[in-house]
Amino acid sequence: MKDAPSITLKRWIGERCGRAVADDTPLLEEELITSFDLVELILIIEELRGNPIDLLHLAPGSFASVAQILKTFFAEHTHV
Amino acid sequence: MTLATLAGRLHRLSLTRDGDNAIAWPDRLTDEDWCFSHDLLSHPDLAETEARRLAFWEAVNFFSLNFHGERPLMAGLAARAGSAAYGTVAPYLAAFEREEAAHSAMFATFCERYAGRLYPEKTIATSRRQDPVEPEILFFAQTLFFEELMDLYNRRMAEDPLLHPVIRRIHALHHRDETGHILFGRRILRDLVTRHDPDRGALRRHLMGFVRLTWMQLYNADAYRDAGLDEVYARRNRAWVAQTGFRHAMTQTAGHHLLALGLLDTEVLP
Repeated sequence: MKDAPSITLKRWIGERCGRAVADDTPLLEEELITSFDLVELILIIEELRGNPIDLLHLAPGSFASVAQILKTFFAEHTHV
Repeated sequence: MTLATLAGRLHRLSLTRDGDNAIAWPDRLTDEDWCFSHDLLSHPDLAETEARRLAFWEAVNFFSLNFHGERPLMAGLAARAGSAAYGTVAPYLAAFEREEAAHSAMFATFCERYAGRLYPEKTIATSRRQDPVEPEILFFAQTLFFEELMDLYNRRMAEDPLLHPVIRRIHALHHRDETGHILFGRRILRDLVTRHDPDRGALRRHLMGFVRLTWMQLYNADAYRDAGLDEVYARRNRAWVAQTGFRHAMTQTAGHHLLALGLLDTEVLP
């Protein structure tokens, strides 16, 4: 069985920045992911959703934290 | 030859080519037309019909990637063409920018005419500060890697007799101009690195991120979906693994100048 998106995302981000991240850790504000990482993160989110993301119509802060990513792209997984 | 002399020659060459950018756009492309060399596809392990369908969408992806890549490049060139620091080479930087604008128009025309759209850029603007490490060296190093890699594709596809003539023409025109950009890029980068003797470790970390990002965008699950393939994300992941040797070889060829300057790391090739 696949991991929940929150687990996959936190594991991937943790590997990238070298520290554990919580749901509410500010990813961009604390510069835990680079602009290059952000592109890869978008691809991972698309794969987990099974659908592309419409980047033109995103609210500001959609990638601010794992919790915000889950809320924006995985509404049904927010409480996983 | 000094950088200024090289830039002057390249500028004069650019001016002589201004009138030779015509492309005979066909009304339409058919399912029988090859639009991307089979062995350069991100996922070449397909039957011919599927591969030909994917080839069209990978051409759209390739041109979209170039289109999006040229926007920050043009902005960077325009800023530097107006800067006193680049006074001796400013006329060529302006010509370089004009050539990139012409390429962008060519790529957008192909995508909009035959696919009805470009693929969107898989990135968003953030308020994160720019990496402060040697911005001038980074700008020219990223530009050089991107252009050297894209030009490996240009050179192959400009000469591939199986491709539709409009595809060969686009790659030939692109290659013609990129040759000058690459010669200039190699030279100015060597001069900048020699003059500043930068922290190569920091530059390598940043540039390897850029190299990985560039490659990832050549494996576009949206193109697989548009080509009618199933399990697009799983396919992309399998293709990424299967094509590791191809990517490493292409990266080392495209990055040989950066490698020689100590700006790429062969231990962490994507």
